[in-house]
Amino acid sequence: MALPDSDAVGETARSRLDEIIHSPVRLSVVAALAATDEAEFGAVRDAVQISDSALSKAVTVLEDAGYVSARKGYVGKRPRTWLSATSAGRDALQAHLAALRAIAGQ
Amino acid sequence: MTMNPTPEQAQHLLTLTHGAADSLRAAGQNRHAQWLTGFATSTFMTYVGLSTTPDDAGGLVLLGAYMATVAFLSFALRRGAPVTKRGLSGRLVPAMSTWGVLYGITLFVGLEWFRESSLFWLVSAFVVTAPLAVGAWREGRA
Repeated sequence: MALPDSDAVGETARSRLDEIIHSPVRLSVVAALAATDEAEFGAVRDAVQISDSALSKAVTVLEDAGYVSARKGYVGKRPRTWLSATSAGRDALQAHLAALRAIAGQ
Repeated sequence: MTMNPTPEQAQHLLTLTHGAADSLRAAGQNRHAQWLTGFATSTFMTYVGLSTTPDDAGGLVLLGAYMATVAFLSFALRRGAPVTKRGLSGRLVPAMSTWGVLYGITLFVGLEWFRESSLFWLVSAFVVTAPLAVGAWREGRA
């Protein structure tokens, strides 16, 4: 049986890329959150090295897709927002990373 | 980002994901590991103190100081922790539940039958501290 050539492998992998997660910012956010149970908004912003507004926009898209959830709370009197990746988000991330690895030839 | 990344672009994205995950884990400053370490240290010191304090008044003062210390550590380190590493409950629950059982047993047995036995309290210091120390080590490595 003939093995598929690298172009065919890449083509199949590209079809498995998740449009929502594929943006570098959203990919970084989901990947960072997948390494935690929960993380505070400011910590995620600093880890991904983007602005508050950029992270807010990314989180809105990811929340709408069901990949990230946000919880509001307080530390003392200061309002805080904690973010976490949902199980759907973690699954989508794993599938997306697998597709990227296939494209990268790993 | 194009939906048709080249192998180099795909590799760049993969590198990006690892960097973001590592940065966020580091941002947590290992607060929960620090909390468990402080908890273990105060537990050990309390039991060592009990080995040198045969009277009940001294024992009560020690246990009161222990509770105040743990409450302070919880307020300072756990409250508002910016990052909770993946799987924290899988490390914390076994540590705390084992500590709880050993703490209850050693206190009951010690206060009932071995109040003036320094050896009992010194051995208990290691036994009761062990699950917290193991928990701190596991959390630090996570």
